[in-house]
Amino acid sequence: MPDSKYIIGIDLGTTNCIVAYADIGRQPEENLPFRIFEIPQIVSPHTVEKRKSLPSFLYLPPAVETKEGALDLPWESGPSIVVGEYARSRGAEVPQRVVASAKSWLCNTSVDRNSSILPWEAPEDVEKISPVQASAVLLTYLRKAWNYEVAGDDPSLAMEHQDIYLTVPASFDAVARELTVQAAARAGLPDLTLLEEPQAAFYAWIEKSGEKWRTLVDKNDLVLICDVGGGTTDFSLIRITEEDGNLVLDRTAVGEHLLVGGDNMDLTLAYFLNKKLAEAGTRIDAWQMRGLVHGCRNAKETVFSKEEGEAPVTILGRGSGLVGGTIKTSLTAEDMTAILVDGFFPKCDPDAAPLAPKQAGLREAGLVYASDPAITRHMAAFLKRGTSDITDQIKAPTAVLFNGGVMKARMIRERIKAVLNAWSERHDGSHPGIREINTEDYDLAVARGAAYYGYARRGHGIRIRGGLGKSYYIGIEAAMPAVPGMPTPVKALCVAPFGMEEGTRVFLEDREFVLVVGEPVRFDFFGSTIRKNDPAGAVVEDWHDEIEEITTLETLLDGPSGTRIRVNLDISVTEIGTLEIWCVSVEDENRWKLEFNVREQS
Amino acid sequence: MNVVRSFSRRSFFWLFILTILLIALLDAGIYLGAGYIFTRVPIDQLQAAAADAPALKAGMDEIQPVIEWIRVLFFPVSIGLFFFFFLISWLVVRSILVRAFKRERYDELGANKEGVGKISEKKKKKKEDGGYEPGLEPVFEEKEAVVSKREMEDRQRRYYLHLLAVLQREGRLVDFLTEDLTPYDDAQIGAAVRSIHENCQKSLEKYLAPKFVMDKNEGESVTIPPEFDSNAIKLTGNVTGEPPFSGILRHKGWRAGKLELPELTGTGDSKIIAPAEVEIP
Repeated sequence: MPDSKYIIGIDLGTTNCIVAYADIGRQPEENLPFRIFEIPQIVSPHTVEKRKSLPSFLYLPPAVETKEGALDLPWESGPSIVVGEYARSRGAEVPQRVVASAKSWLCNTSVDRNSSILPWEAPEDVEKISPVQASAVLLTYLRKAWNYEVAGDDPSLAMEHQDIYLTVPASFDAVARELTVQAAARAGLPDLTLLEEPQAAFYAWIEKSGEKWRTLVDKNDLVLICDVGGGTTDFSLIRITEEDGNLVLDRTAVGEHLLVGGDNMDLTLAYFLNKKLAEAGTRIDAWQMRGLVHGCRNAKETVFSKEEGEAPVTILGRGSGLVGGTIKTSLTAEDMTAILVDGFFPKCDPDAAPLAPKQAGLREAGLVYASDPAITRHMAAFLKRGTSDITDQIKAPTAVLFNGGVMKARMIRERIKAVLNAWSERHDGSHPGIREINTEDYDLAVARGAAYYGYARRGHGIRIRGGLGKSYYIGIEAAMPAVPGMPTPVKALCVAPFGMEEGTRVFLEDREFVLVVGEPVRFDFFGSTIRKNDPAGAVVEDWHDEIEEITTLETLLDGPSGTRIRVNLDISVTEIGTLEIWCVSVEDENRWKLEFNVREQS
Repeated sequence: MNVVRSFSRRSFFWLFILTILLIALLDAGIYLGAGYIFTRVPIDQLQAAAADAPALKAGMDEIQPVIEWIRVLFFPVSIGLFFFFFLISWLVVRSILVRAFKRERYDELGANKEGVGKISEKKKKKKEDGGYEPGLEPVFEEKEAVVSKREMEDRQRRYYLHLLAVLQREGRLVDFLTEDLTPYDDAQIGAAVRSIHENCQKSLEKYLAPKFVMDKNEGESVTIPPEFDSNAIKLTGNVTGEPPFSGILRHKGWRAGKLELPELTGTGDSKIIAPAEVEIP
């Protein structure tokens, strides 16, 4: 928005939301300070405190708890959904009433993302909400908190009138992005721009380093961004080249959506200690288990900061019988190395592949957690795919940028660097090694970077060339005689090539489709992160596993029923970062938008 | 804008009372005054005189309906007029107030070129100042300035317990302090204390960030200047004469490095430190 006073970057995280902002109205533009908005939230009944991050948890309280304004917010009394710190802590106590990882549900194709299914496995009397609604609730909360704290009575300072940049995982496909924008629109934020999280982390580093960043990277660098947050892991590759003497940044590959992160690590430690205690004859119940997870998180931080010795983990007795019921155990640096560093970041070959999930006949719906917790193996698979099209000298990344709370641990960063170092061998046999690009804040960087991106878009800084992180295809049936017992083979027509930039469009003029008015029109919609060189209009006949089905595209043409209309496809990547596919009539100016189907995919 | 709303409501009430009083005073005065005049003026003589003088009679006949009109209409009209003036004056007062309030707000916004970050700092500072001064309750944000006195007292009581409630929630401090320690050996107590200490320390650091009053080594000699704050420095031993004093630092003292008061919402039993927990199977 041209007349906005602030640029706002929102990191809508899987476990934490962070809002950063810069005041462009009053500051001299060359020296913008980026600040973190402290979000007021309920931390316990009757208590509202400001925190730098808003845990992305929604708690749907029973009516008995909202009495006497216990869950009132300064700007709203008796909210039906509690967001933030208190919701997170209630998540352990009343799990059926808490929605967690709302964002990961947005890209879960095994459920209808517009139907009310959350909290997953909630009892009958809880009024459920849909994944899109859950994200909308979080964004609405952020908007109201901002409007109460910053805008007050001045509508021109309200969040909806500012320049907003919302980050999404790089692995989000066109459908998940579209749903994110829909959620934002429901939250009263119809105008915003999307940005990939790893890119935002890179922007945050550029912002921190100032003009110096140009000396810290080199042309022909290949930077791996390794973002391991509380619940998800995200990879991206940024390639640095030179054009006309200027450094140019290209985001050349993005990873898959991986549900593994810091929370898995705390749980793993807790289960390890639980087993150790059980062997010594101490049984702990579910309540003590929660205390154990909490204790493990603290001990993890202590041990990782000291990098040696051990940290005690105590589980206090329940109720007021505190001292008598205390159970004591400890975590050592060796345990930590064995469980976390070797368990989640094992040394492996560059050709290693993540262990395939066990094929159970019936898999429970719900979130698809990564079946192999070894992040380094996922990294190997990602790099293999991501660098397959790079034919010159560079084969392995030369630099790595870490982001996410897990990466605060130097032991883990060192391990990842050691693994990458072992892989760093060029085609000509030289071994350039890997170096770390230092960020300062592993938790807040994405939001800050998003705000900086808004600043860069105003022409004040360098922009990463990204565009689409996947190639997108629609399925067309091959024109061939029907053979009984054999389905007509489907070919994939590339409609949007990898890297297609925001604000550009492709018009597939030489391919006509004949659509029938009054009947639902349906196209199969595919995507690929591997085939990066298919141009728009290319037809792929045989793709093995390189192209994956995403969903279907649907529309209903209006007009006299039964008539046939010849159409061309018009594809555009909008300025805000979503993909739009239109059918354009050949005869007249009529256009119909093909909508993504977000219902359950069989 | 809550302040404005509450003030305008209050000003409406008081102006209304004032107007009624004025009407009552004035109209009663006029009524009594007129009654007095009519009892003193010898109407009968006048009428008798008028019978003789045709000019006077004509004049009186002319005046008669006017007096009649005044008698009927004076009170309703005067009351109406007063209410009209009351409304006008209330609107004027209100608009002046709204404008003054807005200007104050803009001044606050405009004066600091750094924007929101500063504002919240300013607010925080306000709160801190409020917290430091004994006997002054913390300065709340505008809308809370109008909560009733009872609620205010209730809230103060809750603030009094709040830190203890936090230390119980995060570190189980109350459970620990109230427990009978005699049956346990020191190792068992030590194990529990380690966890309580760690969590309470974190909370203390987060909410109060205690700092030394005098950041020097204990045992060092220090000089107390004449203008010292007797709340911050306690003198012991042989205290005679006038400052400056020189002495030995025995305890560094503590002060709160910050006072970030949470906002307490709603109402409830202000004596609850930690709720009882009931698990529903």
